[in-house]
Amino acid sequence: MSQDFAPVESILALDCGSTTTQALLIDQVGGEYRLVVRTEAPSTVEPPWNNVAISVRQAVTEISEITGWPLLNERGQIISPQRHLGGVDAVVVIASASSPLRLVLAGVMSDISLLSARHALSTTYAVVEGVISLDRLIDGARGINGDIQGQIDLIQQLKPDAIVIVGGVDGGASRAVLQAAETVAIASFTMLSSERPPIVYAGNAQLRAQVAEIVGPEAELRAVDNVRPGLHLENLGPLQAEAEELFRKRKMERLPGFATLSSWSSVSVLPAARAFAYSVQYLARLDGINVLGVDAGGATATVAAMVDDRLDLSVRSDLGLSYNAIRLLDQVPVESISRWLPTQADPAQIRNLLHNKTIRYRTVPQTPEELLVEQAVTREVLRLTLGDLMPHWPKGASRLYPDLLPKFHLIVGGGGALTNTPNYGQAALMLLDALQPIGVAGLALDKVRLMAPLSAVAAVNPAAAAQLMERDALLNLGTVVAPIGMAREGELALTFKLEYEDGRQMEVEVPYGTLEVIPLPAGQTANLTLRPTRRFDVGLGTKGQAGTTKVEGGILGIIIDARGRPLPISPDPEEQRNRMQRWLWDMGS
Amino acid sequence: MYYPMESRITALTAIRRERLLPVPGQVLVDLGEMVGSADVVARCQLAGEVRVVDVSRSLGVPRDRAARYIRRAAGEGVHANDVLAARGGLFGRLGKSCRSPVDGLISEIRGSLILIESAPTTLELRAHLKGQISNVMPNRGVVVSAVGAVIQGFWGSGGEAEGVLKMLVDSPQKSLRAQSVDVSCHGTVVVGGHLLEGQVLEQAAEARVRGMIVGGMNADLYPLLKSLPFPVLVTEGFGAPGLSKQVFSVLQSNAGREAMMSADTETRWGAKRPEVLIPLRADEETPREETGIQPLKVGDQVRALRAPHLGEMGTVADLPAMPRSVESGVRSAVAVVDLERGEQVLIPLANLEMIH
Repeated sequence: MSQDFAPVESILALDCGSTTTQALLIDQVGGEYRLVVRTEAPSTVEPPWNNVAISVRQAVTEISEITGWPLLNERGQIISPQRHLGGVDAVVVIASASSPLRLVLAGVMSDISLLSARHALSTTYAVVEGVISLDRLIDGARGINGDIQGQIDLIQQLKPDAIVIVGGVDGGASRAVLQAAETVAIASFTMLSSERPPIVYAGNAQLRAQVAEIVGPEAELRAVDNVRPGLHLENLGPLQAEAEELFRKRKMERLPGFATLSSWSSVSVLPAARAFAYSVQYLARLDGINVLGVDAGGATATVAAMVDDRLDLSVRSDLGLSYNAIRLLDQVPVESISRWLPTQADPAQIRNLLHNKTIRYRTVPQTPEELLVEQAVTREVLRLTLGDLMPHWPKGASRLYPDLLPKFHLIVGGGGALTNTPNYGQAALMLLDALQPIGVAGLALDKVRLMAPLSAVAAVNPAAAAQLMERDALLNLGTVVAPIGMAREGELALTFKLEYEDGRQMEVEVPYGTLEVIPLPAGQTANLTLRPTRRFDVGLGTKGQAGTTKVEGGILGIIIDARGRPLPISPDPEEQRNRMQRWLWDMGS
Repeated sequence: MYYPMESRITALTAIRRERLLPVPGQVLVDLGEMVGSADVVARCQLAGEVRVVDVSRSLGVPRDRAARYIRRAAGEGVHANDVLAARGGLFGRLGKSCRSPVDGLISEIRGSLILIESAPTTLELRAHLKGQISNVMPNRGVVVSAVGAVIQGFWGSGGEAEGVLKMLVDSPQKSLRAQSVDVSCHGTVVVGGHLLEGQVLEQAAEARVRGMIVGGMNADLYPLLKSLPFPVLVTEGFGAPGLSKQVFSVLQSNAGREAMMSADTETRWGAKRPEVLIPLRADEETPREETGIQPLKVGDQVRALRAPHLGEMGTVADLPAMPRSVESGVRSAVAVVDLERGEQVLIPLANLEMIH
């Protein structure tokens, strides 16, 4: 090793979320990198504090109180590099505390270029608040088609952080795209110069010069490659990169207190969703498997997936368990939430709870009834976020059925609603209900919110990140077996045989519509032979095909989810409540 | 050390409120001047709206041929209904024409589009607090200072209002009834325990109340609030069973006095709390200064933010060092709270706000 650089041994990882800030001290213990201590504090990004660094200092001070090792000097600055009396060798920071980019999309066809633009923008912290299109409107955003005055009014009212213009394949349509540019230019012209948003052009590349002429020198125009260069060809990367750059510059770096954190950080501050995705990618490449990571956060829901070595990311900044709780009801009826409850709930009470949670976003459910409502909300938030990715996965080796999730070998859940649940069975059931995995998959929780920070840690010490990922990051819940198919309730779905390491064997028949949990402690493996009936496929691509696989244990063990795929929801609310109650009992809740 | 959310419910305190113009303008009062809540303290001009007239669409001609029909030029003033472009016939009388939708100035003609900037409007900023001008920020606004009661609410909507406080219930838990809202409520800010029926809102609009304060409200009524001509302020939370005793006591003891409501609420960036201010005479009692952010400690007065104690007030009896499990099974840092009704309960710290 070169003598010019001191090795990075102790690392302080800071994770600034919208509701909670956490600090993680990583150091060598017995020759291995381990998580030494983790602390958290309520985030202080908003009034009356207006400075995210306050909660970071609170969390770091608590680490010093626990360990007796000073990390802050008398001026409140991190001591780095590590010295004899305190400090750390490196600091890394990830952040999700800033507000998302608020965007207006202008384009031509909602099911072609505008759809591609939405795909591209879904990979960063952005919310499409308004859409201007020539044809029908897109769900979930205010939209105007046709009326130019209405389109201009929409932009003026929304005052977006940026406007994205798309439309036309390269060398294709021009008139409608130029008309959209004209509208955007007029709307921009009518705004105060200090409020004028940047305009990103990601449409027909041949029209760049004309669009620049229409927009004029007063507005900031950023042209990137066409997001839809051909009718059947998407090119999401350039617009994704531009949106992420805009988010970093206009949101993340303007977070009050960000400059302090940035000055401490040994590497660039990473947006948390991107960091989470990198960790999912790492886990997948480590073992050559498909990995699905989901995070139900306070202000944002994130789904990152590696399928057949391809990374996809969906970030929903309009869905979350705190500030955005009430916005869920813009997307689904209240019945979509109550269908996940085991008891009858007054819709008004659910609305009251969501409104209260939106305003007092840090509160935690104190009664069992409110806990179950928050868990029902979590299911819907994850289901909707995953739904954004479903059209992305091509039919192939891992996408056995077009309407179902691809085959994942490992599913990791994160976010307070999943990791702070009082019962791991509840956490597993939320994942199974919302994601509906198929075949055989490992289930784990990002229990100490280490997944995303480890991406930043990898930038200063890859070995430390790898060791922590293996030892401290994931809490293994067990393995789920979810046969695909439908039958009559109670009809045999499959028979499985489990051979434990000590030679014990167990053979069980599993009827359709049930959930079975078979204990297999963490650290143990077993051989699992699955023999589905002719109506069911256990993830091998053929109904009725038997197979044997080695499975890992976990806190719950092996979960046989024979409820069917897609998961049947009873149209009779009372029957559905009874099913939910039974499923919760089956999962030990 | 835990720093909770805070709410101010106080019968007498020093109040300072900034009143700022949205764009630079003119401050109309002097330092030290006494103002009433309805007095205008500053004024500014807001740029007019830009209206767009699409000549091509109005006349049914191709965009590239629209220019030949346009009869006015950029920089010209126009009145509403003036002909801007016409096709076939003298000034459009016998053919098709398009007319200006507003009085204003043609700021630009872009191809077939005529941009008309309507006349600027004047915004007058009222004091919204009876008190004394304690600071003047030239061209920007003022600070008004007073002494009085302050109640910070949970949520509200509908902007600002002033009016005489009128209690429509004699107990904090009683709901507002439509029949209680009659002509005697005209011009007042009405107070009730909770709001369950949309009919109450209709009746209040008919009686021309200036504002409404309730402890709890059914969230199903939320869509109705958008069209109301008066603000509504909720002090305890959606679904809360009524006003807290403290809030009720402050409001009841000031019934008949003028109150200022600011109902608009922002929960995230640029957070804004709804509040009720009731200016009082300074010699009634020595006012306490408003204090800064404080950590939670034993003896502090708190309010529960979630079921099963939503809206209940109490005093912190203990702050256990280790997290505990609550009824839901969730493990959390908690406080032991002596509720006003006499029961001692565990409440997660995250579900408490400090009251002072």
